[in-house]
Amino acid sequence: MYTETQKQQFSKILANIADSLDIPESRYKEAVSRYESIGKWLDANDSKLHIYKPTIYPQGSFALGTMVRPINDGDEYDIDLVCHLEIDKDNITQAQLKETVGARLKENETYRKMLEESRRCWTLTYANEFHMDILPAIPDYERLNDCILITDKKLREWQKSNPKGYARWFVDRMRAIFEKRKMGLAESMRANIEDVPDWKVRTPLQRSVQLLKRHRDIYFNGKGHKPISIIITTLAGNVYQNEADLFDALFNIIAGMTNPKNIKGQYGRYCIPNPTNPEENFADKWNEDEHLPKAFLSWLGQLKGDMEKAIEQRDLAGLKEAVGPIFGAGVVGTAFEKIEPARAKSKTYPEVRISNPDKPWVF
Amino acid sequence: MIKSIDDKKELLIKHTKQLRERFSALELVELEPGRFVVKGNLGFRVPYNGKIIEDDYDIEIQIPDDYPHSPPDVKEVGDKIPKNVDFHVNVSNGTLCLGAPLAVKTTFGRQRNLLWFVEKQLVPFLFGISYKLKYGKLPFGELSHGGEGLLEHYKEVFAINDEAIALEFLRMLAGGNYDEHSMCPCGRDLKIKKCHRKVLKKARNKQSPEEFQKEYWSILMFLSR
Repeated sequence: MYTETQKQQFSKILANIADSLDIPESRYKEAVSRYESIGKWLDANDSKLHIYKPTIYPQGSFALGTMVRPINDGDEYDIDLVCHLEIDKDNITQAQLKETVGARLKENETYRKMLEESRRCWTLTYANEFHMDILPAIPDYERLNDCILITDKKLREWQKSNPKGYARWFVDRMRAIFEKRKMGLAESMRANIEDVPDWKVRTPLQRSVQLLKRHRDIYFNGKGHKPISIIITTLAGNVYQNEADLFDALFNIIAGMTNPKNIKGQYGRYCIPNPTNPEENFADKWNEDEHLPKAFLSWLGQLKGDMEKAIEQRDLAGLKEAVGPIFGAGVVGTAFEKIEPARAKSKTYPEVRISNPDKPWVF
Repeated sequence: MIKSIDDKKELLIKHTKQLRERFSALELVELEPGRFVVKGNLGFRVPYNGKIIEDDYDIEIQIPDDYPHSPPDVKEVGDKIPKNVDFHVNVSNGTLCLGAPLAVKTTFGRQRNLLWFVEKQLVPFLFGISYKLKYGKLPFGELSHGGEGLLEHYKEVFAINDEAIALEFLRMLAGGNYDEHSMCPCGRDLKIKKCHRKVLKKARNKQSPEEFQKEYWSILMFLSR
């Protein structure tokens, strides 16, 4: 049992926690300027890539507004970027594409030192700041616009992807509340709505995904079978109903994510289709290793229990104690500091001594 | 006796000023001509059993037409108190039930101002609720619901254990008049004027016969269940 006030207080704290998990605005801008520089380098006039009109754009949590600070404070933020070249797949192989992009990056003295290759991408590590994963891609002319083909060292076929389409789907899933929040933000900034950049808006869906990912990172720290972010984000997007309150949103999302009808398809097989490509099943691996869905469900069971325990707390001290271990003491501390000033003001409550009070009655 | 709305308003302004010296987040609001509430955030620190309990509630104190004769009603508007009888909230109108009607009037009647009401009646009640929300029970005890609680209350008022005698006293008050030279129902073999006279007189000053009658019926209803 909990009161509306308890819920509001908890929602406020959850929003503050998500806020501290998010990439700070200054870091966000820094990241954008970093990848724009990469884009300029790739597209410079003396670049071999210039004729392919290279563009760089973010994908994944950075593009969706669902970034989560790494558990260890010193670790870098992961930022996923698509490096798009206009080349027909018939004119280039996966290895050639990967190599072309890598070669141009290596021509830059600074980038060369920071560069590492992995299965699908080139990673630039800005020490103590970012890991920038640069994913070489070409257009997929067989499918709709924005569909791309990407490389994978271990696979013979080009891999299909559509990060822009996915981002559009995600925003669509929170459209109503997104517009409302954006309008509210415009009012508070005394700006026109079109002058408010989308990345400044945070909806309960985005917040919920951040909190889910954070809880997962802590729950699975050092353990295997950790659910992948795309599954969390897709399921959360599928079940979100534009709830305005963060606690309601998160609680309903947890319930929806564990509902078999949302994770199972035909013949009881696990099925979480990519919303931009129904042929792709994000839960493919779940059907090969039963530990994966089991770990997923027990994790969410734990989160649900943690949430129920936290909302029963009436005072801030109890709440802090309850959420500290589940989202990390650091971010939780910051989240509570933000509401301390309001509390400090009311510290001067007058002292009342009670003697011989009337006994409460009720008709 | 307060004659006009202006007099009442003047008195309320004075009482609110006095109240705000202690509880600064409360303020007087005139909802429509002659209808007043005092509302805002009521925070308090109460030392109790070696601990200090600090809490605050958003409240609305409804000033009755005959203020300061009758005590105010209070609503908790911050949704902190579960709105049910277990937390002494009248389900019909959402007001807090600070005590048995006669007790509330008696306590208020000692000073008849807002600061007194808040410090001696409202804060003890709200502190009790904070305590109950935290530890599961009220710190100073409570009366049962309805007629049963009234009966418990009148047994305390007349300092007797016998339910029938308590009821007889109440019947006398509900009847309006009684002969002080008749024998006191309490059974001590004394006339009323030498026995329960003072208690009865005090009670009569606080409530009308009709009000006693209502409580009398509530108790009868409880007993006949």
